[in-house]
Amino acid sequence: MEKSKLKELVARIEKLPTLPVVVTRINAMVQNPKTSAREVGAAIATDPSLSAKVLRLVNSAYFGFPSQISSVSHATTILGFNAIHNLALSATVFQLFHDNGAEELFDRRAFWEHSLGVGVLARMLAEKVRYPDKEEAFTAGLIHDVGKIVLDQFVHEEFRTVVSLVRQNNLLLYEAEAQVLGLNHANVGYILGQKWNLPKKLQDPMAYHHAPGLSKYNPQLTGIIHLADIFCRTLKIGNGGDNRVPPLNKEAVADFKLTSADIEYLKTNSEKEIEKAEIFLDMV
Amino acid sequence: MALDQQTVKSAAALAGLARQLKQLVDELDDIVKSDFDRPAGTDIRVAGFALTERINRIIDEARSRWGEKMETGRIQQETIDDLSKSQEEVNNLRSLSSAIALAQTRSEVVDLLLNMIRDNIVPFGSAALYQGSDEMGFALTDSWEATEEDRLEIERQRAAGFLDWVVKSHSAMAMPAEGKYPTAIYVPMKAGNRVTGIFLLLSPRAVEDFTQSDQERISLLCSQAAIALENARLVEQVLQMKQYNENLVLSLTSGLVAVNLTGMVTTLNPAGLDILGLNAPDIIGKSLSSVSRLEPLAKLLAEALQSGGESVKTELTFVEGDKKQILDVNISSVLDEDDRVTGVLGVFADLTPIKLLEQQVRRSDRLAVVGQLAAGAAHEIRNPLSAIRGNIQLLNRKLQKLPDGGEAFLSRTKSVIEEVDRINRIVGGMMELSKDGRLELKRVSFNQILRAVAGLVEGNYKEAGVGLDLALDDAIPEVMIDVSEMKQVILNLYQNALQAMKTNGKLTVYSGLVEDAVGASYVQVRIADSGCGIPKQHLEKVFAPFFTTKTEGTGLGLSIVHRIIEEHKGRITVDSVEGEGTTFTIWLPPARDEAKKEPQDG
Ligand SMILES: Nc1ncnc2c1ncn2[C@@H]1O[C@H](COP(=O)(O)OP(=O)(O)O)[C@@H](O)[C@H]1O
Ligand SMILES: [Fe+2]
Ligand SMILES: [Fe+2]
Ligand SMILES: [Mg+2]
Repeated sequence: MEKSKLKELVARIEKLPTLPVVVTRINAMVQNPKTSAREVGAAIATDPSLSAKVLRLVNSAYFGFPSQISSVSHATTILGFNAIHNLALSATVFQLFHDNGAEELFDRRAFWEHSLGVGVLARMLAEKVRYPDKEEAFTAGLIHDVGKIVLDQFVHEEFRTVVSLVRQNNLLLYEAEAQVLGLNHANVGYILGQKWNLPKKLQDPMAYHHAPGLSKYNPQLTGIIHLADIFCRTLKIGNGGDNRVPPLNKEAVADFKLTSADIEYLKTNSEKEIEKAEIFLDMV
Repeated sequence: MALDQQTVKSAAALAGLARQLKQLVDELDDIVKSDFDRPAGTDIRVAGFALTERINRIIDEARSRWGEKMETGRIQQETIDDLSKSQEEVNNLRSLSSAIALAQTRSEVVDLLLNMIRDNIVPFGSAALYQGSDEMGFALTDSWEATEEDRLEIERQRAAGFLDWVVKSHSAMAMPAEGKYPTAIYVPMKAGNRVTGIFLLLSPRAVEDFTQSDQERISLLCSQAAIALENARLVEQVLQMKQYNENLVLSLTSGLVAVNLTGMVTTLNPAGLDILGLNAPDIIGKSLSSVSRLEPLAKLLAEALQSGGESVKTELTFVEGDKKQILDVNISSVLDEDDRVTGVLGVFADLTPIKLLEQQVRRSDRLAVVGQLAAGAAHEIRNPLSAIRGNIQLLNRKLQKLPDGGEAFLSRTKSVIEEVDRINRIVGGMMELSKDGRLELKRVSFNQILRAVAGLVEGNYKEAGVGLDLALDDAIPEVMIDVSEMKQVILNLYQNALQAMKTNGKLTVYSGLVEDAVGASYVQVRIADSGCGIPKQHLEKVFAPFFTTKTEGTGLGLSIVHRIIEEHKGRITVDSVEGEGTTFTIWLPPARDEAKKEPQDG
């Protein structure tokens, strides 16, 4: 694909919806260690539907907190400031990309199940390998493939070609995307992350989950998402638009020192954990 | 080509319009800047003109963009300010955590931590510490300044599952509490990846007022404390281990000597010093061969060093003058972590007393044979002896009838009679000793024996000016004994006591019922004199046959006593303080109940 076409594509993608101000603001707020729980609560309260969603999530089986949490500010000091930011981000992404009304070229339900599966497995892996923020891992998993939806919505006709190529030749989606469009959903994820001004540690997994060796800012989480994606495809949890399992970058996950007992644990417990997280799917 | 009139006019008009527009836009900008809080959508008038709806919208949009920029700018500026403030806090925190790392003991660490949290991060009323591990669970180990109400809240928090939640989530949290304080703060103490404790603080600060920085700083301090606690625990463990090892060496009843590669003594435990008859300063840091008597041991250790620390087990004999000491020695090597020999170790025990005992046993074996022969011989000796005695007595009487009263010979015949009596006593004792132990058991009170024999010796005691007190407990159960044998026992003990005492001495005889360590009852008899006592080195020998310190003694009395008591399944011991007195104690099992019901017709 020639340069001008690519430029046009990028220009079109840049017209993507912006993140709601409240999410951007919370992002800025959690960068500041002096932000109080009260301020975070107040910021989320400016978007009543978001605060309702956050409250529903923090009281869900997904967190399993032993008592009712009655306010967002309480949730902030109980679950952590970053966790609330990540929740707000996850809930928003679901809302933004949910149901654009147009003809969908791949099964959205299966797509979100894949995303949720990667989120849950990333969260479990984060716990296993002691990644410091497991909610961040969940959010990273949830949004890792949104580039696919962006392509479906903004370059719909070209994406039709991509999908039929995948079906005909049993290709991986990102291979076909590169062939047809000159860029893949991970590249789109990179553009999106920058446009949304996401924290760098969340940008990397979106941009490099198929090439974890390239991550500079957050190789650990990128490796986790890379592995979780492959897990979900192997375990056939949801469907991300293709039917093959991409190759595992062994180097990227070597540090995790996972044993076969760990793998067994993930396999047997993922289903139960995904069930608890399904509330995210019900929310959209 | 000149421009036509129309074009020029149009251009001038356009320029004017542009000027006006610029003015308008500037004015708009001013309005937007100054008129910030005006509700959106109200009519804006510029230079007296109401603006169209479209312009109104543009202005509102511009305003909201401005607002967003200002807001983000404000947040950013605040963040920068706050970050520099937190930088200060981080530095402060750094010095605090290095202070924690300097604390040595558990209580120092915990006290320091609580003070730091209170002074630098968040006020709190009472605190509780749970310790444990993910695998073993967590238990409340300490609480501070907790009133009854606080204690109830702490327990409610645990019961509600919040503690378990924090154990699982591994991160600090603040949540609403009930009771006096509005907030419960949980902080995990993480040493590396492991949570080793959870702090629970009840705080007057509202949950909403907590910041990320509070949570992060408090977590950091607690984790620093966790590491310090872990270190304190390890140090304690190592110290205890060292203490344990030292105690082991100290309390070892065997001797223990260690020498380094140059043959210098590095360790010699108290038992070892005692056995070798040395004082620590004389030998620690010196070579064993500096004490000539110990040359054999020095040689043995040197050989072991040369052979690379091979284990040896042997007996050594030290001789000094006419004293002989026999040691049992085990040699092994001292290895460092890399299994290199760094010295040799000798563990030794003094065999001298055992060897002596062995000799005694061998002698008494022989004695047993002799005893049997003697018993036979005794009868044969007694008959001629009584003939000798009778004749001498006859001779004695004859001598007395001589005109000079037989002065010159009387003392000789008297002495012959005495010596014959002595032979008689010895022979009698030998017959006793070799008696074949068939007892005629009768059920009696031991008090009866004690009183009867006291009656026998009363005269002797009075004559010697020695008191004899019976302090008997008449409630003691009866015993099954051979009365005449037991009388002999008591007579022997009374007589020995009398012989040990001078005028004004006193013998006290006690009886009573006692229980031993495992709850069995015994009739106990104590015969306590205020005599000369028995020197330590004689204590174990007094029961041995032929041991006597008396010129006229046979050394058979106590060995007969011993045999008889053993035959009665009893026990006898001796306690003595030289110069103060001696106590012999006898234990006998009480007669069993069924014996009482035995028909009396036999
Ligand atoms: N009550 C006593 N006080 C001091 N020494 C005693 C006492 N009883 C026994 N002994 C010591 O035990 C030794 C052995 O006693 P025993 O066997 O009765 O022999 P003997 O009386 O003929 O010497 C005595 O010589 C004496 O040294
Ligand atoms: Fe992907
Ligand atoms: Fe994926
Ligand atoms: Mg005697």
